[in-house]
Amino acid sequence: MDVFSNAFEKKWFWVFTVLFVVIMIPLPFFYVERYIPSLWGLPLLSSAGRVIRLSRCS
Amino acid sequence: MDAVSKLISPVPGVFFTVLGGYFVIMAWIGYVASKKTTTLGEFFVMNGKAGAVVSGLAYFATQYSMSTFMGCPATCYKVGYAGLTISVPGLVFSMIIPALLIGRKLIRLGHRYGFLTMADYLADRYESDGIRSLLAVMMVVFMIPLMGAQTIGAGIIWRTFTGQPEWVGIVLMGVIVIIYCMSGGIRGAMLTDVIQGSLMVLTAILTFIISVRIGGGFEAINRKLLEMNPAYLSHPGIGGVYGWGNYVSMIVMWSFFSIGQPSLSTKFFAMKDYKVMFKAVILGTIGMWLAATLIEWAGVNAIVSIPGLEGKQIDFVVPLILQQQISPVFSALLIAGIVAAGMSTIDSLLIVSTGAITRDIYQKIVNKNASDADIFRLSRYVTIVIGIVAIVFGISRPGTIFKLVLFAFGGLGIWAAPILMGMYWKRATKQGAIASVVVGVAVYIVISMHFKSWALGFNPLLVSWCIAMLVHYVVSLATSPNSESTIRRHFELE
Repeated sequence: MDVFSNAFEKKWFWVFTVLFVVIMIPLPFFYVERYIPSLWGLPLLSSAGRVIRLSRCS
Repeated sequence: MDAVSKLISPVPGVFFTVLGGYFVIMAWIGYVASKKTTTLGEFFVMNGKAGAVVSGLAYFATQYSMSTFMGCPATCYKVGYAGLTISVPGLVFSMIIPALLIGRKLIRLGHRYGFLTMADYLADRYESDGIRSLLAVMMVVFMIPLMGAQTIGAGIIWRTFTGQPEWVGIVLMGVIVIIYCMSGGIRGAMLTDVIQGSLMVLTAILTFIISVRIGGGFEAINRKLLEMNPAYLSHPGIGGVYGWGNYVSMIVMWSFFSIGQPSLSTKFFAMKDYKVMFKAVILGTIGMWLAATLIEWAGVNAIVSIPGLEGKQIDFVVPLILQQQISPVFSALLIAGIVAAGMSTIDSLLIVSTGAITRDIYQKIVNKNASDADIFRLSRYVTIVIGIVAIVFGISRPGTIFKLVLFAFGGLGIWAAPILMGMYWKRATKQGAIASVVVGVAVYIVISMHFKSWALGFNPLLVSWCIAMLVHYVVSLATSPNSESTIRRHFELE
């Protein structure tokens, strides 16, 4: 009796495992090494044209 | 005079009144709980009858501590937005992963065979009192720094709001928690967790709003941060601390490795049933999301409005935010929310470490003839002794709150290896389990203390745990498996 012995838990286990792995991939909206200003200057992904590279800022 | 002394504005009268009222309520709950706590099962796991609200809030309040409310915002204050990496990306998973992987089985096993602690489960699964003692000793060793970190936070709050030495606040908090844990056991701890968890969420929301207001709004804060240093606004943050390796480590640590934390996994034994567990997961996750995101973000906002804190002083950042532009009464109320975070963690740690000494070492190994009534009596004295040790640790303050918590959490996280192997692999043996923990912890301490480069940019726990899993596998294959009856009891449970 574990997570794989119950169809409901098995399905959600795989859903959450995939999401868990996806957030670790260094996609720009999760992990980003440059400042990308968004609404109110918050550092989030907006558009490629607004990217300010750290090297330019410093 | 240091930066903190210049910034704090003590308001002892209001502080004493509000916090005093709060402590009286907590003590009353402890007293009421003690009236219903007459057996060991009640003292440790509420006889497995906790509902969804109590279980969800208690899990969240136990996992989120002074470290979340003071240590993590302090780290965000130091490194900028990258500091939010500590818990924000992974917090959605912090309860669902342990629930899915081990939750249902622990609830069923606990109810059927009367397991009260994680040591009960491991000793039965691996047919070994040796593993029980090993877990008990490690729990006490690593939980004392965890408890000490909570008392340090109380000391900081005490100094900020009264101007008096930190050790007074440390002693005061320690004594109050000892009293209500000693009398009410886990019922007292979990019931107070409900109030404390709610107060923590409220404090996080309001602290965040205040931090935005005193910073002049999001736009002003981010413009100023960009002027100060653009590294505040991206990974890996100031000092390059939160690179990708650390980003991944934080996600995995506070979710997957919760499996190895006895104070959290014990909560499953207290849950009424499987449905309660999933309701508790939803409630607890919402609480975590609100509390962690907002309080850590407040730490970033404070870089602009409360500049100049350095070294261990950064732990003062949240209490200092709560002294800005708001009435002392309101400020003291919010501070009660942070004290709640510390108390709700320290009480569960105290109960679980008490169980480790009284049941797992004394009753199961030292004096097998000791009755439950003897252990119940002894538990209250042991709670006092462990509490005093934690107070002394807090007064000595060997590091920042976050560093202490990180190290201790990692040390216990290794136990995810024997727990998962025991649940999912019939061939796992006691020799494999013991070897995996001994090797894993030794490697963890060596890498953490002396060879950080060996962790390849990740937290040492990730590397140590992989080695522990490998050792478990190899040693288990080389040794005799458990008896058929034990395997049936654990794997054919319906």
